[in-house]
Amino acid sequence: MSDEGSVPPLVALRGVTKRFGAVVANRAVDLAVRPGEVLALVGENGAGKSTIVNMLSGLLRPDEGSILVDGRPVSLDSPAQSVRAGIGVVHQHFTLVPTLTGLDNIALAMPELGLGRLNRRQIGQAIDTAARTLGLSVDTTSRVEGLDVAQQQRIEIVKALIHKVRLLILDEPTAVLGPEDKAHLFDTIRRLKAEGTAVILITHKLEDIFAVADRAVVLRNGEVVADAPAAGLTPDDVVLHMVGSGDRDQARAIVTGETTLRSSSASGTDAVCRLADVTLRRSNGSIAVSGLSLDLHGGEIVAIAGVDGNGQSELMRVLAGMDVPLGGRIECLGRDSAGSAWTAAHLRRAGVAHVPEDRRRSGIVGEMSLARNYLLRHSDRRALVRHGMVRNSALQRLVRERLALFDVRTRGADERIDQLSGGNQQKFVLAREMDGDPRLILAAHPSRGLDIKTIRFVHGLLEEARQAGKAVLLVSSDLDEILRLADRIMVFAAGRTFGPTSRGDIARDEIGAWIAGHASGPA
Amino acid sequence: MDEALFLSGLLAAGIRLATPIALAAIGETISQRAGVINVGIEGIMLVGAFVAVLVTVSSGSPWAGLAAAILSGAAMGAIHAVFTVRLKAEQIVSGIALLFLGIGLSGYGFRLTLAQGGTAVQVPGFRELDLFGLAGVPIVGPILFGQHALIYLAVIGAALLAFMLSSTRLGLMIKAAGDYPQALDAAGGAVDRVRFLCVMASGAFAAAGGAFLSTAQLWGFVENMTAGRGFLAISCVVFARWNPLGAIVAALGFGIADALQIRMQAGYPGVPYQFFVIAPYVVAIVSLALASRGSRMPAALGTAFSPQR
Repeated sequence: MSDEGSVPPLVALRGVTKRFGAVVANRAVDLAVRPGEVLALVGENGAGKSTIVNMLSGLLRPDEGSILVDGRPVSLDSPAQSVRAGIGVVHQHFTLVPTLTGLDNIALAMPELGLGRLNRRQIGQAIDTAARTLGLSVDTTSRVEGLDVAQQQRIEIVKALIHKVRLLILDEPTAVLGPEDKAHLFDTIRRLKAEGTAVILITHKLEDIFAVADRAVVLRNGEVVADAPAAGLTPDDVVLHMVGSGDRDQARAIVTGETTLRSSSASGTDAVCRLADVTLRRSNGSIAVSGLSLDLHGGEIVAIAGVDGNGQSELMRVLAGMDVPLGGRIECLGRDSAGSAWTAAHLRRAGVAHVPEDRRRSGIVGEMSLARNYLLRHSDRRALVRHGMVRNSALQRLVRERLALFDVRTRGADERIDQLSGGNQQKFVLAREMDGDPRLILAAHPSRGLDIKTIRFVHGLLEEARQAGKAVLLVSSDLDEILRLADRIMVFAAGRTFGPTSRGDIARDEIGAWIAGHASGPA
Repeated sequence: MDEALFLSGLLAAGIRLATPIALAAIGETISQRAGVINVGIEGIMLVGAFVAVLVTVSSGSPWAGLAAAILSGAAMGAIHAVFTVRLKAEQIVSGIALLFLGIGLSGYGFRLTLAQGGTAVQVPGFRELDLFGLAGVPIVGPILFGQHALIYLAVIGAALLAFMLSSTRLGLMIKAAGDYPQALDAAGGAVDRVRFLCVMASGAFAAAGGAFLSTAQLWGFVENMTAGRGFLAISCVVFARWNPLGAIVAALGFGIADALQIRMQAGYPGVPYQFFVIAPYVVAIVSLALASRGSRMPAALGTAFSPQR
């Protein structure tokens, strides 16, 4: 137990258990955070981190045990009660209304304003005050849908802190940020800490723990398996606790991500896909990217870096055939964006695999079984569908085989896919998309929200695909991932494109500067 | 001068014919902004029209009739809200049920009560106002100062609603409920309560439109007298892109088309009158086909909200 010290915990969980049906999400969890303390909460996918967040934010109630604030048991039955208890949450999936401005979104979260007329100037001043003490600059006058995720996250943070907050919970805040925005976020966290605010930081990135956290709590299978000061931990220790194996060498291999596959040279191969002077349009009609020219070759990984919301999603949608470019021309595997065959069905048949960024919306159908979800991509295969009838036994056999190969943890091919954790869903999507020998693989944030072990698995797959001569286009906001995998790098920032350039020709901080929208890196 | 008189008469009549549609469209806008589509407003209008006549005849006051109609409309809206908001039923299905419920209730009620005598009852309905004594001013008088009280109230209502949506926190809550209810829930707002009230309000407005039809525009009730005006109101909402003031302008377009076709029937006796009667509906279809491209529909329209807890 870590109850040493004289400062009483601000918020504590005592013996908290939460079940969903037969599944135990949290088992007898003890957790405490003190004023001015930054606590990192880490663990694999499905370890029970989100459940703890949801209980503290009033979205879920514990089945057993109690939540204490200032040593007194409280019941947090609604988000409003959680706010009243001084707990602010920035969820992993932002809870902003896309069609409203930042200011209106913050006003929406201020019930004390009543229902009547909004004094927007006064609210704006309150926002400015809150933002200034945190050293944040926020755009509160644009509609949220036009902002990139870093700006949206700042609005979420200010929204959470507009009330007197004593504990701020950040659920995977760094997953979507570039290096400069990440440094800003850590600054903000340090300022909060200096003011005596407690922070719980949920993260998958080991470096975040050592950058800002005072203490790390590791969860595994819903239980707390380690609770120690960050200063006394090494990355290997954390991984050992997370994975639960005693093998220190294996843990180290996971941390360093050592790989046996070297990048192969893409020399001589014809372009699989050729983009010439392409203009991309956002769904709201504004121009996301213009003048984009890029060739994709077999046997190389091209990565697009940058903060989300700068046209990456639009590029993936267009290449997957879900949209057509506003201007310019794309030729891909013998299809032409100017022709009528530029549809998702045609491109898939030509050999495009797509791992979409929004898995729940364009990757899977949550209410359907794994087998049916598998069929969505492969329904034109004679072995699976004949004369319009699904051949269930063949489908079951194939899906079981693929699930085993990709180590998807499931009760079987007939299980509903929304019963799986996010990491397993992502492995399923990869298992499905890699089937059928695709020639171009579009991978949008393939490892976002996944735990470190699964990330290594995903990276291994992409490297194998490159080795096998496939073209891979990777979109990611994780610079480490890009530097690890990419042969060529391109950056989308502030309506501009930088690169492409070879991985060997560019330094990390130069890419960082590109991501921040500067033409060249700091000297 | 003749042309001016013709235009003045056309506009004045167009405004009168547009009012039931405009009132229903204002209500539908509230409901859809909150995320609930109500295709049953046609039925609610019929109930409103019948109740207004019934209470006006028995009490002698059209205002009492209007109040009763509004209450009945809110009650009909509450039925829709119970099914779609509380019980999370399919909104279109519930709306169609509401439509037939309204047709049946109003027709049955009418035969039980007013139609019993066999002779037409006298309805002491609304009369046009004469604001500031200016209704007699040529050309503009009848248009601006000689309309029914409800018409002015409809314009004021739309303006207030537009103000509420743009400038009050309640408006933000309604827009959040229709666009991204999860955000309203996380902000501590009660999504279902907001939606329930908005659906009731849509019923109240639709019934007021029905009441106008039966106690101001005409003085009496006829079965199925709304003749699709509820559906025209829904198309006004889409055409105006969920903007309440735009919705009454769109309704005015339909009203003028209607007034024009009545005049053209008289002008061209050789042409079968059915060709003219369809004019407002043709306008609706053509305008919808042109307007629906790129329209900004509330993102959560038609979907029930269930929090993840």
